Amino acid sequence: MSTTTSSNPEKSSLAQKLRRFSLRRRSLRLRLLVAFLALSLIPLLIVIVITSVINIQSLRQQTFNQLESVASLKESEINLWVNTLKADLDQLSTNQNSLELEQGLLTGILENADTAKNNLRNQYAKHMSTGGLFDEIFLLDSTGRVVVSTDEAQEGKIQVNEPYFLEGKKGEFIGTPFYSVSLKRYSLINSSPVLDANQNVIGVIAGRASLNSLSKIMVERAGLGETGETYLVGSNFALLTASRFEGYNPGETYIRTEGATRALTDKNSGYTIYLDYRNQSVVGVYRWIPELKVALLAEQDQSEAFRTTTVILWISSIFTLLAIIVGVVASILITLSVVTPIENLENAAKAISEGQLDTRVQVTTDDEIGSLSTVFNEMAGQLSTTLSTLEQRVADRTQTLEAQSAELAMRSQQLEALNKHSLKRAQQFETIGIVMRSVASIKNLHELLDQVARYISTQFHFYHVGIFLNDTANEYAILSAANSEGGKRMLARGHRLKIGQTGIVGNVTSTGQPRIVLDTGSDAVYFKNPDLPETHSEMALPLKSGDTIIGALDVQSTEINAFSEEDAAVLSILADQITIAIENARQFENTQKSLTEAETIYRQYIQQEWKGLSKKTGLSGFRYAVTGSEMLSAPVSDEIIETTVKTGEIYAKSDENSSALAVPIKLRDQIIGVLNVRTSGGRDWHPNEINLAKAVAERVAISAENARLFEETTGRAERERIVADITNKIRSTNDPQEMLQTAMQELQRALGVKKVSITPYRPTAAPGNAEKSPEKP
Amino acid sequence: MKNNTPIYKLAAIILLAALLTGLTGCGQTVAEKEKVTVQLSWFHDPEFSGFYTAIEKGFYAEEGLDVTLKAGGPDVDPIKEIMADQAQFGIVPANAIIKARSNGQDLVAISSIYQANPFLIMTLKNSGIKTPKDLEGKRISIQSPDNFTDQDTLLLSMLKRMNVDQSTIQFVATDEWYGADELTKGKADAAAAFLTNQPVQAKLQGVEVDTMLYSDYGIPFYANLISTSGNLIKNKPDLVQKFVRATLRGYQYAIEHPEEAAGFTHKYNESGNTDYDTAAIKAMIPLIDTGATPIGWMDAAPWQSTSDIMFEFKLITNRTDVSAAYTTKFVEGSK
Repeated sequence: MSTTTSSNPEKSSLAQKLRRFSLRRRSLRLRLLVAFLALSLIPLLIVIVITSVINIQSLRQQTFNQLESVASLKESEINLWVNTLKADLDQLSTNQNSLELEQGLLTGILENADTAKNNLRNQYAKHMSTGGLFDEIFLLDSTGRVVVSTDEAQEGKIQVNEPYFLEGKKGEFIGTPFYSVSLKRYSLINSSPVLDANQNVIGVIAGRASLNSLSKIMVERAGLGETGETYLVGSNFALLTASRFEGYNPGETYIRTEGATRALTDKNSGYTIYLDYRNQSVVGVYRWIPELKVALLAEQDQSEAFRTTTVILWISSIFTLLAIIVGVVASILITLSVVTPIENLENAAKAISEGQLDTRVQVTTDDEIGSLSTVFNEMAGQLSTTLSTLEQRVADRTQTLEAQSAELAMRSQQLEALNKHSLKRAQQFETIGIVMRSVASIKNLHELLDQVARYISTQFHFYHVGIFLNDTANEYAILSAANSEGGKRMLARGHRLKIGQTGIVGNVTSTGQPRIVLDTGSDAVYFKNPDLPETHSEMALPLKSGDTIIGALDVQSTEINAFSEEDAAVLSILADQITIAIENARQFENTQKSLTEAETIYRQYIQQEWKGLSKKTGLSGFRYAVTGSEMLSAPVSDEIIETTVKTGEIYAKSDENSSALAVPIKLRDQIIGVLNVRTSGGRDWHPNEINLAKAVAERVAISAENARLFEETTGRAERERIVADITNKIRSTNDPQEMLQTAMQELQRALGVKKVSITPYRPTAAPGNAEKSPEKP
Repeated sequence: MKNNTPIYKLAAIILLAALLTGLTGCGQTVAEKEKVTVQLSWFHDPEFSGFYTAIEKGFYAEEGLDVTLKAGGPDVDPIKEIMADQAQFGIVPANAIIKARSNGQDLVAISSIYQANPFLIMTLKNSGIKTPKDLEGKRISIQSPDNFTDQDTLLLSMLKRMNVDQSTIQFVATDEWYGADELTKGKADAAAAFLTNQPVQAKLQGVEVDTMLYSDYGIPFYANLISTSGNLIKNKPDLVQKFVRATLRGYQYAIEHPEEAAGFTHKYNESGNTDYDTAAIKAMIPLIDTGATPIGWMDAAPWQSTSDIMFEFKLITNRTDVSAAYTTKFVEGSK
């Protein structure tokens, strides 16, 4: 046998190898694979993760740094702007030309104030046009009224309550951005006092800077990419400078973002990632600008800021995936190269352990596994040789054991058959007992035979059982009982078989030997009975009383080979029992018949005697009436009496005029007279009265019979005496003539007749005549 | 089972008790809400959007207050309502408070809705009227030329302050309150107006107007002060504090969410125009929140100026202690 495991590395493709990494548990393979994967992938992943994290961190830091630098730039620009404003105001307040005009206007010493105002206004305007940052420069008097302004519309307004006036009187005031309702814009006002020659405060000079110029600084977006912006937020969280996004106007928009809150509430500076006022995730740097009491925010959309990071993440993810694939494939291949030869060895060992001793491993390498395979093959060869001799011995021994086993089995079968046979016999005997017990009490022969036939059929499961009895002439066996339908038909037909000639019953009833016929060979001829078409086996058993054959028991089966000689022997016992039962029934029937005959004769005798008595005595009956009793000489013919005689029953009758009761006088069921009671007038006969009448009638019958018997006995005794006398007289002579003479004389006297004659016997003569009849009165 | 029965009973009783307590607890919180009535100074208007917002956003409810707003009008005097205890709070201008106090009524301002006086003179853009002086010889429409109201008095004070010759001016009663109608229909050359009403409406109408704020011309009166009686401050400082805190929260929310606040306003003034409501709320943002002071704040200087001007113009006969007319402690306590 060529081995299933002989490895063929040249042919097995990678796909096949991979398929061997199936769901089967392969702990070594799994462990090796896990180990290789762990060794190759874990360091790789660690390195990738670390470098990615470092990269991302540094990139983020870079982004923040960039934003920070933008914010710093803006902050310094704001500071520059604030300082410029300060310097502007300083320059203004120290300008000698203006100061003279201012002092003149404020103290009211000038004659032509309007000209002075114009001059001052021009000077202010000139200052603004030469690089100043102020939008408006104005002068307030000590009451807060605007005296001169570059915006003429502002002149005359009273700003007495404004901080820049109140504070500006005290010294240099640096304002914070606020919304001017009258100017409808955010602005910032710096102010400083105007002093007279005596250093008294006579007014305030103020410069208003629109935040528009600050906005210009803030919207400058150098280094902020596509989505970056910088803006200022006031202490009240209101947006102060323009947003680069539409719909967010300064003065209407409130910035309550994490960055603004940190800067304004905590007065902190820093950076973080948060949702901006548009609900966009941004990378933001926030600065608290104490000079203006505002927050500076530099923000860039996170998506843009970290775009490089995302790209790097993508690239490293792809490389990681590639590395993982390569690592997995390499690990699988290495694992296979180690595990496959071991598996081949394992499979070979398994095959050998399953009995394929000619299995060998192909040696493909000359490494440790190669030499292990060689040693394995040698070991397998030796094992094969050792086992082949052992196998022969085992085979021989097995054969012997098998033969013994077969014999034992046969014996066991025989015993079982015997046991079965015994059981069957016991059952048959039991059944015989049951049949016989069931029919033991049946005295009627016909009923007996019928029951026997039925019981045998039901107990022994024969579909047809028939009982034949021989006729008195011993000429025919007549079917006397049968259980089956066909049998019943035959019975009705009066089926009979000629003894010694017809059928197996005929045979059995003549020979007295049991006979079994099976539906095979020459015996098949017996199974042509149209009434019993299903018969395939038949057995007939003789019914023998002593040496006399009285009939046969015929049983038939639908089975082909239903009867054995043993069955015949067992059923013969049954047949004997049946014979005895038949004999008993016959005897009983005969006895019963004799008894009936005797009874009939007796009844006839009684009837005859009573009829005779009536004739002889001429007595017809007695009648008792109130007048006394009288004998009746003629029979009374009456409807009541006739009815009673006819029916033999008590007859009661009553009408309005008379009532009558007639009770039959019975002797051994024979009516010998009638007791007739009559009364005038209608009345019902009470049961007690009827019973009384009945009892009387019974007594009358017994007494009358006793009387009659007595009379008869008496008469017989008289006759005996006369005969004895005659005999004595006859014996007194020896002469025959005299003897006859004497006899005749005596007879004449005894009988009171005129003539007695003795006639010698002649055989041809008619028997008897009137003189010879002793009954003749 | 038999042993457990009392435990079950006990548990049932505890559960029932807890339920009842919970129910009564709920009932109590409802019952505990203090009824507060506010008498507004004018008909329902975006000017009061902070109140509407505080109600609709549940800021009052959070403070345990159940606030009812009563609309005002030309015939309603909020001071009378407060003094008669028909309302716990009312919206009153500073001059009215000072006058009431000089009459011996203990009325105290606790917060100012607007940081600047929003009353102004509105003129058409090319009318040539730029300063109060320019009003001489012109027709000015005001609320009640025959019987000057507090509001009218402000204008008169401003004119007086600016040395405008009142005899040259013809005061007419305002017929058209909406937008610039009074001016465009030629009924007056200038109209007394309210910063967040008529100028905003005029802008919506597409009419260009100039405005001349009284506050720029020496009348820095606070115009819409949330006021209450000295008694309430003394007896129920907690209630006052809760009310101010919730109201300022309402205004802060309203100016930060003008569209939403306009929606709330529309619930109270259903005949109003939502575009106007929104525009008015946006217009009042800088009046409420200038960036220079906390919202609801009151400075001493305007109060003093108000008192001084009123005495100067003999609107009051005796100078009262102006520092008693207002308190900022509830605004401070609202932070």
